Amino acid sequence: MNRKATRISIAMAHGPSLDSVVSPAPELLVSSIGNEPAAYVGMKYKDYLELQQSNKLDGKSCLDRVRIPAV
Amino acid sequence: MDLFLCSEISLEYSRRVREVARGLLKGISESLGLEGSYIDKALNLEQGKQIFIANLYPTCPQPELAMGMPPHSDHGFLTLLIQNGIGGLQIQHKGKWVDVGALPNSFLVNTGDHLEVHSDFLVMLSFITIRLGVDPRFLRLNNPVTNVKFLFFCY
Repeated sequence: MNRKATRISIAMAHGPSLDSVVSPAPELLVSSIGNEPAAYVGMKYKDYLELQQSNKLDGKSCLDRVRIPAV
Repeated sequence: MDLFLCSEISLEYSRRVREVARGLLKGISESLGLEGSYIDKALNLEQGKQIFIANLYPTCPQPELAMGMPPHSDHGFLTLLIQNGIGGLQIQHKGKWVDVGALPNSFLVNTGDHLEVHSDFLVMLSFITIRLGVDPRFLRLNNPVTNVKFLFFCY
C-alpha cells in the first residue's frame, strides 16, 4: 500500500499437474556416501494445494506439514 | 478495454509466460545434475496447473493500517510476477523482511514449496529477477550443492 501511487501486480503461478505426487527426486537422494534420507514426504499437488488454501496465511510455510524431521 | 480482447491477451500472456517458466525449470533441472526435461516429465508440466493472479493496490492515505497480503510462500514451482513499476513486495531474508524493488521490464521469479520438495531442499524458497528479452535457456543456477539459497540478477 502506498500513499501516492497505485500498485498493480500480475503473478502467474506454475505448478505440476494436479494429480502429480511431488516428492524428492530419487536421483538427488544419492550422494558419494550412499543413499540419503528424504527431507520431505510425497504429496499429491492437489492435496497440498487444498491443505495450503484451507490454512490461514499466518506466515508459516505449509512445507512444515510435509517435512521429515532429521534424525 | 474490450472484454473479449482482454481475454485474448490474458490467454496469450499465459501461454508465453508458461514457456518462460518451463525454460527456467529446464535450467534448474540441469543445474541439479538432472536431464533438462527431468522436472517437466516427472511432474507432467504439459498438464501443469497455472494460476493467473492480478492484484490492484489503490493509493491509500494510511498504508500502515492496511492489511495487504499476509506472509506466505507459494505452493507450486515458480511464480513469475510483473509490477507496474511500484514496489510493495517484501521477502524474508535471514529473519528480516526486506523490500524488493520493482525493476522495470522484468519478471520477479519466486520459487515455490514444491520446487524445494522435489529438489529435496537443494533449491530453497527464494527469488530471482530476470529482465525481459533474455532467453531463459541461457539462465543457469549456481551449483546447487553449495547453494544454500540462490539469488541472482540477470540483466
